[in-house]
Amino acid sequence: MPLRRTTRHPVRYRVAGLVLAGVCVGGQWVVAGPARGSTWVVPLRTGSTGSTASSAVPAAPTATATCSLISLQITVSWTAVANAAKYDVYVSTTGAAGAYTIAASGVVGTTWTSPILLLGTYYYKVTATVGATWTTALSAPTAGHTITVVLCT
Amino acid sequence: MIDAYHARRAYRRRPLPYPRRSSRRVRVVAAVVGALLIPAVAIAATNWTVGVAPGSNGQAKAGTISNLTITATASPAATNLLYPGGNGDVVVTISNPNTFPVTITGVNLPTNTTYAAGFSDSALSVAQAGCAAATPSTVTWAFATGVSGTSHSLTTALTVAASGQANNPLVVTLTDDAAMGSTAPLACAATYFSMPSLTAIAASASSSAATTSPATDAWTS
Repeated sequence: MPLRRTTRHPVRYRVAGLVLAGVCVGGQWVVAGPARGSTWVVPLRTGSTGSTASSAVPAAPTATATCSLISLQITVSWTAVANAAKYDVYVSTTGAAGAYTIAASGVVGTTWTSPILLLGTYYYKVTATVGATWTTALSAPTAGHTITVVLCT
Repeated sequence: MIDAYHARRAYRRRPLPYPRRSSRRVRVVAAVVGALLIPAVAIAATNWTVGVAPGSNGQAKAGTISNLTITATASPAATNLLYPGGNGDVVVTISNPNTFPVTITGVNLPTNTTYAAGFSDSALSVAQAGCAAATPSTVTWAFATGVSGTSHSLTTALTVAASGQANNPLVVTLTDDAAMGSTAPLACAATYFSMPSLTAIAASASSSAATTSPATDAWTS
């Protein structure tokens, strides 16, 4: 490609989307890049980063339990926890401070109704899980409800 | 009467019935010059500078958008915070040392298995136990894929002012452009993250007005 010293030749190469623009001046090809309007894909150094942050594990929900007088079931309700994917309900029949075992897991929503219960007094606690791994603390226990022969109080 | 000399000249000057082809010598020279030019330009593309091999009838000057830096910044704090299965804001500071404004229209992302490292402080100086990049933290750039270098367009182009001008560096909040996996360790709660390095940006020299800092932007696909 012989170059003429007296003329200017606009030159533009496109390589993998990269446009290199230049002119031939005085027998030299002078790349004028970056040409205005030409977009370059500019590699960045390692460490070209940004910052972000995560939330804390949410506080435990607040749970309550209710039953109707002639029912043998108890309905547990709780406050929604932000971004919670599911809730687990625990039950104790040995007092509010007793041992709790899982009554229902993976509940979607903010209420759960027990199956028909045997005689006894029932306390409930609830946890929420955000994603698959961030589980809140257990809620405070609900008030106890006692199932007698045909009544719930 | 035409002598033999003039007969040969007349034969050479006759119109050709077909386009004249380049001589072998010209084609060889063109091939050599092309072979020298192509690798030089390819190297230029990966090193930001444009070069042409010596002996190619010209000499290149470097044409660059050089040394743009993108760094993490603690202020302003992200508004949308990450949680397992959710997205959060990323805050970056972009510095332009060039003597001309630079407009950024997109970014190229690392893979979706390149994870952010967790820190217990906003200065990103104290590593968060149990929330390292290798744990993994599961925090990645949103819309990253299994392929490194995928390009993503900004919703609004950002113009970083020339060196020494107002709004340079430019602080940008990238709305919801970080993602946390649903299996993020509990140790990654209430944690600050240094995002994985971007691999490249799409940028051009610009005469546009500089974007006012701090700005908000995002890629959404």
